[in-house]
Amino acid sequence: MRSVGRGVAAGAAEVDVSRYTFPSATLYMPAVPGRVFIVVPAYNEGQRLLRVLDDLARTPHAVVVVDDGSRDDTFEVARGRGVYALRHTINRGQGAALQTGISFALREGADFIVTFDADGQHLASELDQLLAPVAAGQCDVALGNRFLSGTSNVPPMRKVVLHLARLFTFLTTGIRVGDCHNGYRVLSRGAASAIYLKQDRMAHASEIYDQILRAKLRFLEVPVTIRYSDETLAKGQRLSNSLSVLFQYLFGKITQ
Amino acid sequence: MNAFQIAFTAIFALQALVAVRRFLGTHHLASLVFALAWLLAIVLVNAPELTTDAARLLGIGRGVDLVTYALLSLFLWAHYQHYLRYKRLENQLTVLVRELAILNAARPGPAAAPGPRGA
Repeated sequence: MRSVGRGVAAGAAEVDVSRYTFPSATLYMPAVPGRVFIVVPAYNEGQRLLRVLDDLARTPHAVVVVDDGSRDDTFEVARGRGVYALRHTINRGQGAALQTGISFALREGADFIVTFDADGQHLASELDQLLAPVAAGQCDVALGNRFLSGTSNVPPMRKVVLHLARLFTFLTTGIRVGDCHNGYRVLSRGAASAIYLKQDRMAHASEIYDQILRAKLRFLEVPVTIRYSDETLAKGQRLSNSLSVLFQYLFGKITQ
Repeated sequence: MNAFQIAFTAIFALQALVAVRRFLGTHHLASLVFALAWLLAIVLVNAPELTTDAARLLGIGRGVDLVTYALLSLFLWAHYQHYLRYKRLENQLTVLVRELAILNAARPGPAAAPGPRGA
């Protein structure tokens, strides 16, 4: 068991919510013992990021956007929204951006770190469900699972790819996961410190299971909704992509 | 001596000379190794029966085949070494980019107006 719940005094109530100026916003105020940082890796997400940040603004937590060397206004959007905005000078991939956000959050004294996709697939309103088991010390890592919820409209082809990825994860790590490559996760400070993503590109999602296993972290899967729309599907992972991700992962394993 | 031997001996000799000069100037061991490799090439081109003898010793039919296998292994090994170095460099680059991003992090303040890039 690692240090879950460090810094209990820094409660959620300390966060100044007055800077969130969204008239219709519902404010979720969970009783989380510690500082929560939401890491959002973003690459050319400009307009979609805007909506994601609006959604996240309803939570009282700190948001860290890592712009992965975008060519559009992603960085400016983040800055304009008054969140932590970090920028990779050169595009390094989603895994690299995630790790940058995690490293930053750790240095800022985060007790819990949330990873959240920039394309609007995840719902901020479901964060409490993911935070709860980690905050309660039931596990070190909470992983979002889109199949448990029954509310995700997963396209059939995507389903096939995801189940193949699950099988692959089981064969290579022995971890039985219900979902794979779901970007919605919560890590305790201890878990986040034990993990260091070296797979800069997409294979980090497989790598994270290896590291969970190696660090003997306890994980739980929590039902989350993934919103599929033409918009989110336009940039998501495809079947044709998964082979290249597979090779990245295998080569990464050999060369480390 | 046939035309092939004359031409390649000349080319290899020139290469060897360049490598020796570089070694004398820089004292880099790699240059010396290259010079020796070129000299070996001159020997092999002019005495092909040497490679044939070596090939027979190893149970390979022709000397040319032995040279081909040797070069192929060498090339694959060198290629893999380069790949590892490339991966290492990539990881180092990421760490560098990461540290820069963290150092220059924009902190949340009053909703700032979008500034120019790099501001």
